[in-house]
Amino acid sequence: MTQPLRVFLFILLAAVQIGVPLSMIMQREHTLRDGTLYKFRTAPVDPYDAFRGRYVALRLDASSVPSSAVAGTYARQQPAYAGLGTDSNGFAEVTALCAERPETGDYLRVRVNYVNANETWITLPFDRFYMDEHDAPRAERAYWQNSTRTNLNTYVAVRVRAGAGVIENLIIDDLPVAEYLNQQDQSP
Amino acid sequence: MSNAGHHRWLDQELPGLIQSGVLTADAAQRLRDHYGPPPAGAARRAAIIVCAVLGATLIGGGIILLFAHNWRGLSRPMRTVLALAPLLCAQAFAGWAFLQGRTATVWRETSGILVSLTLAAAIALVGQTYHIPGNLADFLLTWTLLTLPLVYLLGATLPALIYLIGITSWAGYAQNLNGHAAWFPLLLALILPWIIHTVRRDPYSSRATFQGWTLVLCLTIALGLSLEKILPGLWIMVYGCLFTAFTLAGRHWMRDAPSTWRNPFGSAGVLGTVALALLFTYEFGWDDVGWRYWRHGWPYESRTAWLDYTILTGLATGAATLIVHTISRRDLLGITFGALAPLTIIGYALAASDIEGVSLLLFNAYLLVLGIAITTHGVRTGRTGVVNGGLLTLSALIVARFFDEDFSFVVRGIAFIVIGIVFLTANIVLARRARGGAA
Repeated sequence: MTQPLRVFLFILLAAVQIGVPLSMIMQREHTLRDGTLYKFRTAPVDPYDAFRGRYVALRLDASSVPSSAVAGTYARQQPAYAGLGTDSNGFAEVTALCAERPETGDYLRVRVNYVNANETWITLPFDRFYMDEHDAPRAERAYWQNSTRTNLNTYVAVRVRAGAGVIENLIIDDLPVAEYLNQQDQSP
Repeated sequence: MSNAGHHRWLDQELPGLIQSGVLTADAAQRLRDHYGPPPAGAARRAAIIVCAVLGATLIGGGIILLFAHNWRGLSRPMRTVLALAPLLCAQAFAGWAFLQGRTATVWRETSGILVSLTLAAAIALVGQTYHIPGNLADFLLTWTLLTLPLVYLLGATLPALIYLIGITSWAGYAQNLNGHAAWFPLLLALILPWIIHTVRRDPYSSRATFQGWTLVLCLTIALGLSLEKILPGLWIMVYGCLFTAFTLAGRHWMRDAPSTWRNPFGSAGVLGTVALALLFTYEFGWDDVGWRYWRHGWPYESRTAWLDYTILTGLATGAATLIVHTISRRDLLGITFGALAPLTIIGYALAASDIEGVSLLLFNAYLLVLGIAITTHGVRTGRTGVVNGGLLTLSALIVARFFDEDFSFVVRGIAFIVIGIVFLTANIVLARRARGGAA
């Protein structure tokens, strides 16, 4: 390999190495700026990722779709499109699951997790909320302390655009989680 | 291949050879002149490389850990800058070293590891900022694929090791998540030209040795992680062929290795062969194998089972070619080790036909023959380590059978004492022979 070619390839590699994280950033920024806001009801738990730190894993109610809303049959890990709507409480729900991209309305690209007689379980394109390593376990505790069967008010605010969903914030008791934890710190 | 260790050895040997009349003083001087002065500062250079690489690894790892803390007060634009700035700095450093023509190992390895780790930090921080879903498998795949070109462009070893370990970890996660890691052979093929290039250049260099050991370990682990879609026990034949191929490749292409450490394929193959043969002397190795136990449903992916059969066919073909070559060279020890592959296939067919008792007997006999062959080879070549390896193989078989069967304590005690006496006698005899030879 000649020296100019090696230099060219090195510059190309450096550009690709920068370009990959940059394109990840730009796609998400576009969705956060122009996407529609949905509230997904969730139950957070607190695991750990060696590279990306602590996060709150989200167990989303919208992950199960009733059979009546499912069009066609699906194998495990098969890609599908989940049409979105809101329920009477203003929370997001999957109104239709189909193999083809919906022509109208907001939708998410999902994968079918498993199917039983009553429901189809899907993997939504957001399943975690990264937090400061000290705050993540506190957020989990706060959720369990503040949630009862009749008062489930923890959700993630998600911007949805062209099949992609980007989490804007985790809301506990109507406050962004950071604010909620600050408030907890200040309360006697 | 000239290094300080070889020069030291030559300097120690020459006076004795002159004294015993094997060489004249003139011939000894000519040998000294032929090999020249010992390479200056080799140890110092190695220490500098180790320190520099360790430093770069710690800096890169530290950046990843600092990002993983996930600082609460940072805005998204600030996080973008933080994600890309260390990568840009590392790239600038690598580019500067590259353009300045600084091709010494220390520059290549340091810049390679810095770019690779800051790249991991950048992808991780972007994932953290935007709460990007996905498991470690996606992350590892993106990172290792973007690291791979560094291996070829910088000619650096550490990014190659990161790549090998990365794709092996990916295979584990992907298998667990999707039920298959079908891309693993392709990912492995991407690094093979580089590994072949380094082995061809100098098969016993530190670079080739580290890469060789990482490759054999990663391949051994990744095969175990990604096999067995639907046919239980397929691993028996796959590992049989793999270790046969390792051993015979090592005996064929690296037979002049100055130590067992410098022959990763041969050493890993021998260890794997003995371990596998010992395992197959137990009944549980042959339980529920064969086509009568086809697996169904998640996570057994029948769609990707063809990959298992392709891997087996490829490895069996490779092993068979090497066995034929070994037979043509009349390498008796090699032929004994090479018998593992056909024996696992025969053993598997017998166990699958519900006569695993014969498979057990077959492998008991094989381990016995293997132990005797290794010991005999060691005695013949006067290598105490090889003799002990052979005796250890025989002892492992005897001890395994004694814990397996219902023998009395007296019989076991006597057997253990006999093995101990054989060990000691063999070592004393070889030590005396070595002293006699030196005198």
